[in-house]
Amino acid sequence: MLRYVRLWWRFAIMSLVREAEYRVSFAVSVLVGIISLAIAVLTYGVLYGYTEDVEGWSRAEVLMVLGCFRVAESLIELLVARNMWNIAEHIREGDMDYVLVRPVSSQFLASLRVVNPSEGVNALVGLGLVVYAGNMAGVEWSLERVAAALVFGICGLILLYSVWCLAVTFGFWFQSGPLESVLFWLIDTGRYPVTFFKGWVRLFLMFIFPVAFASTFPAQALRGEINPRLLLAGILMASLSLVGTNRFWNYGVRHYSSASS
Amino acid sequence: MNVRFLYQLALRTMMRTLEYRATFFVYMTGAVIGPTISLLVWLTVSQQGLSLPYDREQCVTYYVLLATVSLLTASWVAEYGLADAIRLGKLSPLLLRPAPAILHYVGDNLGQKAVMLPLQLPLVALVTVVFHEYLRLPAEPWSWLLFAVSLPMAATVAFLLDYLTGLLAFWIQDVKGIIEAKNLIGAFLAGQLVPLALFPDWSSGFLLLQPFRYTLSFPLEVLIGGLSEAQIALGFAIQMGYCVLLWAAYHVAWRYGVRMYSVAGA
Amino acid sequence: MPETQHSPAIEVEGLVKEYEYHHKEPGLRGSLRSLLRRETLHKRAVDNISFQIQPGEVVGFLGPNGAGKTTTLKVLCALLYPTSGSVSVLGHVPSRREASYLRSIALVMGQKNMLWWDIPAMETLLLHKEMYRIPEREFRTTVDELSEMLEVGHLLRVQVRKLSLGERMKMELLAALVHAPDVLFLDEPTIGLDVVSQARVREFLKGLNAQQGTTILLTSHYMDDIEALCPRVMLIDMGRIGYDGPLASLVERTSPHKLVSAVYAEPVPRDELLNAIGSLPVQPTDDPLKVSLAVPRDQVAEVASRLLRAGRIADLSIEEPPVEEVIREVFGKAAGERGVS
Repeated sequence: MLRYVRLWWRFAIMSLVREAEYRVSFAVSVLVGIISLAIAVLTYGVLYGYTEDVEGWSRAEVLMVLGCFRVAESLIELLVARNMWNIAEHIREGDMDYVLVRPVSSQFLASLRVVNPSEGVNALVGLGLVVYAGNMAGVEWSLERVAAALVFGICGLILLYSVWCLAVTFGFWFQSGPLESVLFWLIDTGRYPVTFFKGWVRLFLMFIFPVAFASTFPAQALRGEINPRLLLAGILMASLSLVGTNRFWNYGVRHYSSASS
Repeated sequence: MNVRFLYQLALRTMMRTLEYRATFFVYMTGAVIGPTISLLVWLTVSQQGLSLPYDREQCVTYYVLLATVSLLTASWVAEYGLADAIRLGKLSPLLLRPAPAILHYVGDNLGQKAVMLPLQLPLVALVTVVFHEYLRLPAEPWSWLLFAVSLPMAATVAFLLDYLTGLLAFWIQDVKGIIEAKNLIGAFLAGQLVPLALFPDWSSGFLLLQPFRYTLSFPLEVLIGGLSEAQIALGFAIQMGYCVLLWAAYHVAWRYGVRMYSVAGA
Repeated sequence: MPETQHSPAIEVEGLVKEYEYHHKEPGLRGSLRSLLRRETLHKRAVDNISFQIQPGEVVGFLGPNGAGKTTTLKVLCALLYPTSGSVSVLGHVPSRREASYLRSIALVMGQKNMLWWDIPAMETLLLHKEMYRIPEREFRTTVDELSEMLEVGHLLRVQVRKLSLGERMKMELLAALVHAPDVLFLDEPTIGLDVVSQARVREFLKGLNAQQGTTILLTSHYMDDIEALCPRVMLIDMGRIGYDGPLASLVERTSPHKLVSAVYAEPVPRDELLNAIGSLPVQPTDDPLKVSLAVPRDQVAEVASRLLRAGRIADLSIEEPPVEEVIREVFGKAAGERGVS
């Protein structure tokens, strides 16, 4: 485990060294991130122009959800997104060779080796929004709440990672369609509190594509609503999905065709 | 003659696009998912008994139509092609052709839409079936006629705005970020996320005059209803004005840009 | 092959690898049709291959494109899962993909980069140090040693994209070898390199094999690579092994001729020359004073003395035919046979 942390740290350093070459695009991607967050805030501004409360969420509280979502989204972008976009192509072009030949988990290498440092700034901006909106909503920052929010958030990240990883693993069989990019659009549901959605859509966002664990639940925990059962469910789901994803990946690797003959 | 050439260009793009149909189908899924998420949120909001400028039926109809109308009017040649062509010196073969280079990109745009529309329709049909009880389309042919006129004009405004942004690559090295920012802000101001009718009153003057309304929102507004005859007439006048203005701007930018391009010797 | 008391480094028995692929017709109609239904086809890239390789051997895979040599190589590297047959390398079954196995092998592909493009190679080496758990001191000495052998010590801190193709390939080799593998797999390691760099790489590999006893398996299009490095070659075509043995006897077997050439100091009377040549086929030369003949092996001595007698000689040489020609002949024949059957 520690070895993987150290390995990841090397990847982070290498990515940073590389990124230092492209400072303009670093700044641009930070700026674009801020613009997109500002637009999300404005969208809420339109909505809350008509009411002070939607489904039990005040203006400040939905901004907390948005902030949590922003942190989660940025961390996904920081850690895995670039890799996931690449995997399908790497499988198709046979560029997984140098990943699969290493004595390290190939899933780890394939999904985490490229780090996108500029998203770190966006994550911090998101965190700033959480704190700002939290203060506006009158949140008491107790240790218990913050810890619960963190656990929810980490479970949410693991769950989103797993779903995405599961989707790209199908690329070992079906090499044509980047099915996984659908997830890229689904993730946008996370900017709204999950209670805005009804019926099966809500269940879907809680348990099938569990983006709620990364945005709504941490915000709820900060608000003081800590549901221990939900917390336990999150931890359980996250652990199971990690194991399941890894099994499936290792099975998928057998169908790698390396684009050669 | 240019029309036949354009047809050939579009046909070639269609064939190339079909090769990647799975990818484009996924894009279409995304294009339908976005509005559907907004639809669900506004459905929740509109059931709270607030007095919104759009009632529930208008909200739902707006978002159901949004994906298709925005596909028909959208343009993405700057991001996928034009900027790179300028920056990497790949524009030269187009400059040698006896037809203007913009035709190539118009063909690209039309060809891709021709493939993407049928890929998108089943998804839109699905959404329509799910929300059919809230759907309310105008019965009078008058609205549809106005819609049919403003739609190609919206596509023209969107295309020219996109093309002009792409042409910035003649002068600016890293234009990708500008294109991305323009797309984000443009989507918001075009009513891609929230119908412009729902924006607060104090912003209405600005919303009316800014170009992005005429790339997507205006044809939808014509169809959904809520505009007075005077407002419709004004809208068409402004839309027409933008078509002319942007066309002129394109000519100027192109003339100076190509000069830069040949000076650089790319 | 000499008897050794070691068990073989590589043992392959009845290996088969099949690929699935989809058939699609070109053009708009083809696209539309395959949208509706796709035809799944199977291609047998490797068809029942068996061989053994002893530790410390250097073996070359020869064959036309798509013959199955790279596929075989990749099965051995645990990249491809075999359809059937048994494979054992260093006592491991590659398809189990055990870390201990992957740590004892290395793969270098001439057409792919393992080094990160925009940063110095040293960063990638440090990454490999972490991945292969190489102790600090061992890492330092190996890097020093290898960079000296490859003469790239001064380039370790230079961004990879600023290196020449030859330098980059040497760096790739260095990165592949920092963990001191027992078996090295090379897929077209000299492709695209200039002649000098090719020779350097060959020399290095030869030294590596001699000093460390690394078992090397390589595929190459360049006969020079095979000739310089591989005492043993395997000919693969249509997924099968057509020949397995020393390069020299392959040449002897396929081409029963030697090339006898004489360069005369002055023009030779036509009759004398025709007499010396007899009915042997004459090879074209660009020198009017030079005669080149393809001579059956058992007549070489006799023909050589006839040529010597025919006029005042400046130079006489007896050569094996170029290996390229031999290989072309083997595969040409094989293709011809396939065509007939």
